[in-house]
Amino acid sequence: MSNQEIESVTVYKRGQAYQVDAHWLARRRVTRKVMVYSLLILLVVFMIGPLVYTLISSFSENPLSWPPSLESPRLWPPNWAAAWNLGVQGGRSGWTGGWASGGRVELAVTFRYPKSDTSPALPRVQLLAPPYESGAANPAPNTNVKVEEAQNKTLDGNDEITYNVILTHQGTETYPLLPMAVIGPAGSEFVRATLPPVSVSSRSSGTYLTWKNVTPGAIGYVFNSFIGAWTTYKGRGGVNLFPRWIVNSFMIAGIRILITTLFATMAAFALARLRFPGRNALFFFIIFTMMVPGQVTFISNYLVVRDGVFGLSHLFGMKTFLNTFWALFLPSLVSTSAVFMMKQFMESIPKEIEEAARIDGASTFRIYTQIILPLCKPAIAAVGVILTFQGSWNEFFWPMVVLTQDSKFTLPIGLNFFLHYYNSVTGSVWGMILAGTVISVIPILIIFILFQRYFVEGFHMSGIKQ
Amino acid sequence: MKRRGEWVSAFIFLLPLLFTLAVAFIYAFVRTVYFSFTDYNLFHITKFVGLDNYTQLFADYRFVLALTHSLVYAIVVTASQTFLALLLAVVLNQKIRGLTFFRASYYVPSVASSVAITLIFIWLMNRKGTINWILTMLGRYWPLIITGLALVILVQWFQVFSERRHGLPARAFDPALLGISLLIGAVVTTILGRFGIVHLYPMVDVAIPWLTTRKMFLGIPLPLLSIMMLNIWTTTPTMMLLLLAGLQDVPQELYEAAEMDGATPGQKLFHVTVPAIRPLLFMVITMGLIGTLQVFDQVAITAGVAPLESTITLAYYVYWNMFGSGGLPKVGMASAAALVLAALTLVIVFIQRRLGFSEKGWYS
Repeated sequence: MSNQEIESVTVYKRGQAYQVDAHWLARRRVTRKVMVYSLLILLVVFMIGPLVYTLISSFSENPLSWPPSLESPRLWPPNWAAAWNLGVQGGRSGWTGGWASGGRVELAVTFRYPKSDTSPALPRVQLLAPPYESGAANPAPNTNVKVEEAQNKTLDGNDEITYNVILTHQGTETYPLLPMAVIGPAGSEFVRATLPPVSVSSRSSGTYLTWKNVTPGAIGYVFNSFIGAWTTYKGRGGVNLFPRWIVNSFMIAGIRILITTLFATMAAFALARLRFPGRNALFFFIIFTMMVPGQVTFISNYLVVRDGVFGLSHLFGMKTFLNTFWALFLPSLVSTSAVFMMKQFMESIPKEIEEAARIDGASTFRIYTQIILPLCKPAIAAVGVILTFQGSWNEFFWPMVVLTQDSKFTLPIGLNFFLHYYNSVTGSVWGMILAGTVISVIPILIIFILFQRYFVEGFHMSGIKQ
Repeated sequence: MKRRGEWVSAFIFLLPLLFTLAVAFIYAFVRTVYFSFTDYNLFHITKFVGLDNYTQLFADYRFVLALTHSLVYAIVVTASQTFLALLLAVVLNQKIRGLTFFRASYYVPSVASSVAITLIFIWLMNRKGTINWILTMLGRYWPLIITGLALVILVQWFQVFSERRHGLPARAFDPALLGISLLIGAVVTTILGRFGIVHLYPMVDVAIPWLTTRKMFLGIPLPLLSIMMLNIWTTTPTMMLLLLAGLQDVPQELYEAAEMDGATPGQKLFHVTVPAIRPLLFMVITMGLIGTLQVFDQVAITAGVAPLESTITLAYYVYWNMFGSGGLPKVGMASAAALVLAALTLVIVFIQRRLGFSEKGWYS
């Protein structure tokens, strides 16, 4: 039958015509699609992968372990339950843990020994001092330790002995941490414990298992690095500074948004809608300023801020604006890129609306507040709020110049400071730095996911400001 | 309609902007120029020194380093990211469903702060970091990888050859045949590996100190090269999206016509694709050059781990003269260097203008 015949198509390749059947062509089209999507997905992995990997590693005890591992006991749900139970036994809370009066903790630890007739020595238990930076008191004097054999099994020709380590709180104080080490006799091998230790090391004197905190509670266990980032660095008077940096960053971004929405729309309105001599020249000048690197102007701006903006700071009883948030607003009181983008948007609003209002006798001010501003809501949302938030949240250079006091830092400055402050060679410090990084990325990521469109438009429009 | 006194209200509306421009830009610029001719150091009495700062600048080996680093950085990063972005865009140029999702994922590294991204990279590039681990694994598996690649090329060549013998217009990268080649390559390589015919290379731990070194690679300090890779990684996909949007407006008929006229793939790229998106390509390159020439954040953050001489760029040199050197701020030197940076930027802008780009072309 003729309709069963395969259709033939003409294809050109390098100026030569070929007759191929339609299936041949269709197969190529489909496989090409598959390859394009594979490449797209590969790129997604390439771009998002490092960030997801960072997130997972921020839950790991040592993000610099060799070989690197995606496994983290803190992300393993049965351990959450164990951490919760130990937190409850510690006498304070299943969530955040702690070692409080009346606490009685039972931790089962299993070791493996080569088979022998004499029973091996009991493991030793050492209560450790909490890390120096945490500033916590040592719970050792008020804690009683008992070790008893709970179970003895023979497995594959080895003895597997489970011991119960029983800790009882005999004082009245409450401690945030209960760090401990259990040392199995030489030749022993660690098998498992109620809560996995943070480190296991075999030495000639025995097998050392250490716990940063035996009574962590579920949150205290899972989010250990995050709590570390949040609480370890303290300012004067023992205040946690990391949360303050978050507050600073949010506050500065909030004020920035208000300032930009007001001043940038005002300037954009004049540039887009009002006629005055030198309008084009001013516009070109604005574009010019966007291309000049911040390093050219920051020297003078630093001095202006240091001297309190021509003595203006004396009105507020300050000799200088350095280390105040005022300093952050000066060079970007009116963001030129925001003015530029707002102006482009305002020019798209039909002139007729405005002309009609003018004939009705509306003043320029009324046209601005009652016609232009309401019509500009999308631009204000995109440029004034979202892009301004992003710019402010991520800003690095200028805050680094004017903020030198740790309590005034913004989050990026604080994170950068973390890198310099902690000797970033050891892995566990990286847990904290990565946790801080994750915390700093979350707000901007949420906003990006919600308002993706605005970001993309902004990128395209403000291309010259990288 | 004539409106008198309009410039008065315009002036009022522009007041905050004019104040900012006047103080934070014009005044600042003029003062920077002034400082560049003085020996100001924030504390002592200022003396006019003429062109001394500029001559000292070029006598300072750090400045020469910073200048070369900045130029090399700008050229290498812009060239690589534009090339990669164009390559990806050409390969991906077809109707893509779910582009919103892909676009969102590619933008994420650009949306996050430079500090966050740089910290993550410093961690990955640690001596015991994941990048070294990936290299270690590559070093272990390279016999298999090479075998696999060779197999794919061989099978593909054989297939293309036989299709052509049958009078079919198969291309070298014919997707349907490539799929089969990849599959055969993967399966055979797995079998060869399983049965020990191809051995893994013995494990050698790679411990390249990406950032904490003064070593050079291809004449570029390794830490600077690492920052370059970070920058290329961050910006290539966003540039690719820009170019892809431009490519999708190029009519398909142009390619078909070129094919009929016997164009090679290279000719299609350089005589159809590139001219069609030339304004966009130009924008991407200028944008890239200006942005990379001014690189500061990544350098300042890695300054915590990397040696100064291996990463210093112009923008960081300016900052370093003010606050980084530990001694009295050398405001004059910093100002002079900042002006050199500004001049370089303006040269690029000037070239871009001279080549005749309308405002529209820039921001389209």
